[in-house]
Amino acid sequence: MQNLSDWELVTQARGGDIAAFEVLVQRYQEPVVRFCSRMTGSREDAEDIAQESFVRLYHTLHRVKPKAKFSTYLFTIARNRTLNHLRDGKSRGHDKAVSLEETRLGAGGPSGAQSARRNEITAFVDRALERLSPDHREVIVLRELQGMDYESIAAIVGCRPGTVKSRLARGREQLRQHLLEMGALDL
Amino acid sequence: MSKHVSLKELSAHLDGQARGAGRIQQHLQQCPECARVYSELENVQGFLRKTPQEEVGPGFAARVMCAVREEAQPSKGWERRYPWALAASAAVVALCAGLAMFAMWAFEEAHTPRTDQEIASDLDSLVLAWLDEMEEMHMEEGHQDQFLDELAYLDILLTMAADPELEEAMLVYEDEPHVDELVETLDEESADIFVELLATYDQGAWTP
Ligand SMILES: [Zn+2]
Repeated sequence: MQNLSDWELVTQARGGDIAAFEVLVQRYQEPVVRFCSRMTGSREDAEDIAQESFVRLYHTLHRVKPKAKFSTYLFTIARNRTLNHLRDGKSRGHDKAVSLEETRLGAGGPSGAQSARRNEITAFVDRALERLSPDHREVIVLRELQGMDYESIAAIVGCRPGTVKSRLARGREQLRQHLLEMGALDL
Repeated sequence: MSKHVSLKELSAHLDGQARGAGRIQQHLQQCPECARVYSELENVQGFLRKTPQEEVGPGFAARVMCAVREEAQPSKGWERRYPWALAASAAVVALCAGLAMFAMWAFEEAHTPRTDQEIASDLDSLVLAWLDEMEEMHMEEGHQDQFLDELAYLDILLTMAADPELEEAMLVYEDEPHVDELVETLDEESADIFVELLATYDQGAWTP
């Protein structure tokens, strides 16, 4: 079943094969959690939103048509859930598992140092992303962390590819300034 | 030297999406100012791409599957997910609880060769999808009261549930609103109801 395409799995899941749906979850859990994490700045919230998104996906399986990429459909759901979450005014990043200060203090031993550096990068990225508007943040995350092309991003956020292009440019410029201020680019 | 390249085009060049890549490349070789901006954008991109992957343990998929299995059970999922709708009115409870029963009866009447579980699950998805839509609309605008008026739309769902052909047509219509083609696929009676439903649907008022 691991060899089946996304849409083949969707067809099987639609027919009641719940194991096929589980393969989809396993295939996409990391990118979806990552997207939600960078958008909300909170790993805990990200897992909740990602879970909701998969459940929502399951309930809409019977109406989705294999027109676009499956990932585009899934990310559209996750994106809408994330924006709802942000709109509800739930705080961004306050329950972050690893704060910048903690990562600096917590580095011990060689492997500890390596993982602390990874955490530090994540913390910087989240801090910088937090200062962007959701409009700019989402295109940056989809492009730089999910490696999506302009057309897919446009489909997910519901705008023209030209808009993706300008939002990316502005988002990158703002990030550059924030990361410079934080001294993060020397890492 | 050609005029400077805009930030937008430099950023797109980073993604291989700029118009006139050759011209931009040439300009970057001649213009230290644009080259500096471009290299800064490259640094930002490089930094972002160093962000490590998220480690997702096996517990996550297990939780999702658990939630999916729970909610896949007929007429339980949405009640749990929309407690405010239940709290809002006892009428909702009565309507929704009756929904699955009515649909099963209706399907049996229509001699549809589907199991009760399939019907209930279909109906559940339909109600869920609709409640999601309504919730988004009203939670956003803070018009929860209006939600109650729109419960009348449940009648439409009931009608649809009684006719799988109609239900399918409505779902197709949501994606591709070409009424004429759709109506041709229905028998006469279904076609009439469908056109009526669409009128309601398109008014956006959700009243019968
Ligand atoms: Zn220049």
